[in-house]
Amino acid sequence: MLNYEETEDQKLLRETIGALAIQFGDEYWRNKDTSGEFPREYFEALARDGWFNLNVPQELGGTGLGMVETAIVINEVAKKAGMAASDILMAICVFAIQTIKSFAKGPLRDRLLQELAQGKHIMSFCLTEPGAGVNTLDIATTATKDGDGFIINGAKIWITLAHEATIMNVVARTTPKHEARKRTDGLTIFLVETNNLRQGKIRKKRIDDLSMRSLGSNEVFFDNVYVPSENIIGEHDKGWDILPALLNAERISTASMSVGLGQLVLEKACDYAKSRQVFSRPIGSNQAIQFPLAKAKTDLEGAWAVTQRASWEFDNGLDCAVAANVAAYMGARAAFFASDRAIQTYGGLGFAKNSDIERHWRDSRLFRTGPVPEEMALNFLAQRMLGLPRSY
Amino acid sequence: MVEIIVCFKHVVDESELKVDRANNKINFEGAKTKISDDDKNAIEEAVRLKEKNGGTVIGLCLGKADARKSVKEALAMGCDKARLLSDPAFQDGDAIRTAYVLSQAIKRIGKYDIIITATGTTDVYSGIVGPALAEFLEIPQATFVSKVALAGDKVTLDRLMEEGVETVECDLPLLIAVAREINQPRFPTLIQIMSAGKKEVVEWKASDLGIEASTVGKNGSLVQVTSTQVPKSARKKILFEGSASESSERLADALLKEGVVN
Ligand SMILES: Cc1cc2nc3c(=O)[nH]c(=O)nc-3n(C[C@H](O)[C@H](O)[C@H](O)COP(=O)(O)OP(=O)(O)OC[C@H]3O[C@@H](n4cnc5c(N)ncnc54)[C@H](O)[C@@H]3O)c2cc1C
Repeated sequence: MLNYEETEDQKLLRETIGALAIQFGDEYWRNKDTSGEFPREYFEALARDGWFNLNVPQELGGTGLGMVETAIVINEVAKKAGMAASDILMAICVFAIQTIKSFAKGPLRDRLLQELAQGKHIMSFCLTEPGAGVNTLDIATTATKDGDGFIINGAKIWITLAHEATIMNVVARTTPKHEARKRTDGLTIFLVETNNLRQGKIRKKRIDDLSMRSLGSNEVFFDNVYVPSENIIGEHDKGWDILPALLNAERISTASMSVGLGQLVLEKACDYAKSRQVFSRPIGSNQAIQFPLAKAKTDLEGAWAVTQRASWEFDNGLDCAVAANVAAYMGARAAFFASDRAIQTYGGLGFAKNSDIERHWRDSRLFRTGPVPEEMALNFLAQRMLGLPRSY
Repeated sequence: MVEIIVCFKHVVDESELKVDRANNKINFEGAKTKISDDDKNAIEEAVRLKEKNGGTVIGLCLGKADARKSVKEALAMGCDKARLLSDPAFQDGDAIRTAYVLSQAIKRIGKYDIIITATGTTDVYSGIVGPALAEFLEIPQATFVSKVALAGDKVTLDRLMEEGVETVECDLPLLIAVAREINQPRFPTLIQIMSAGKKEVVEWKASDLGIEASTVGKNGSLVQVTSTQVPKSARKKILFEGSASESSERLADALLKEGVVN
């Protein structure tokens, strides 16, 4: 039986996280966006109220909730406080906790999960490289065996929060492409504790960019960075095999965020359309204003339905790649369309920093390009669902 | 050790209500619900008293089945168990009937030192339920309470008066109706939300409380609400024309005259 109604617990999760999120209003996020400063007060409030326990296993003191609840919480935060606020939850609960609980091993796993739950870490996922682009198999960062560990060398780009990160998941090549037995072999994912380097240096350079400026993007350089072997996430040379699990969780999260942000700007746009009078009547009485807002609503509803499906598949151990990609694609487009229409509805005011619409518009643009550009989502769906030739 | 019963109401969230401008009626369809704001202060104070003195807090809520969400929230905020009084017979009762039903439930619970309510609820704000409940239970009461200090069998209370604070002392048991100023309700933590579902919630109907259905709810009430209307708030519009300095002076005069600023 299908059931789209959220349970009492899920509703209460929404309400409680929503009440926390609205404590940090537009002005807070506007200032952080302008200064590029990490929203530490907000991060600490999430930690204080235990929100990083969300998907930490119960045996480690967490609440052990699944992707369905994670998506709900991320969605509600985006709806109440915008994208940067919800991206922090993705960084901790999805990039860090979901990955570590699924693929890290031994005492390292348990220690980090407990520390993450307490808000002791900020996490970055270091995949993208300047030379490889979306072709992950072309990455040039290497990790070479050295005694009981590996030495990482290479450069990454566009790494969110790297300047604050205490842990980084770094994708590196451990076997050269031409020596790999299979095309997809030879990549390994390492968990690097940045405050605890036995050897080497990590340099970071902030990029002045468009979206989520309070979290910030960076170039990251690994110079002879030593990592112990027990810090391998998944198996040596088999990083590619676990990437889909990480990326599907990421797609579901970005979809949830996109829908939340879309709902936020749509509500603002509708309120404005009802109250702004031009030609002696509300601008919202013109279908030219009304219809695009109604279309934004249909897009967001559709995207959320697929997101729910993807997270349900994820929690039930089903292959969720198709739904996760569809959700991320639809969500990103819906959020951008809604934000763009919000600017149009606001007229000139939409360009003013203190309307906050321009910030949401900039933020909403991101998920059309990264983590997965829409072309790559479509490439995947064309090949996987439609049987068309592989183009990536 | 102190045994506390805290009463709270499940209400529609007034900040989310939409008004149908055609007939000035409130559109309750799909309206969000919540624990009445001031009742959260009551729950918070109950939990703080328990944390300081030991004991238990029982949450008591009269409402429809959908009030279970509020019951869960109260449990997440720190109530140890809850009683939900839910029966079609209880619906649409006036404040006195509500107080009567609550008093019957409290008698059934039996043991208590302190009953805590808010001074009023965010939906109707009658301010009657707390005092009437104390009368039904024949215990002393203090309203507008902004501070509670417990020492043995005695409790010292600050009451917020229009101009000043009155300090009173009272023996247990008693009923305290708290003022909003008393505290800042906490956000439950994630762990508290998820463990709320494991706490004991018992639902009682009229028959469980020895209440004759016809004596409560709409039928048993002396006050009948016939309709709810939103006051018309026509906006005053005055247009000042002329140069900026001229019209700003006239604007300032008008604001002073209307008492908007002083
Ligand atoms: C603000 C921001 C934050 C980011 N945060 C992170 C992060 O934390 N960690 C991280 O690892 N990365 C991060 N990224 C990187 C992001 O995931 C990449 O920018 C994205 O995957 C695109 O890669 P690229 O920039 O190298 O583009 P390119 O690979 O150079 O691609 C450029 C364009 O060509 C298209 N294209 C390429 N090949 C094909 C093909 N075969 N068919 C059709 N079209 C194609 C792409 O879709 C894209 O539109 C972030 C990026 C931004 C902008």
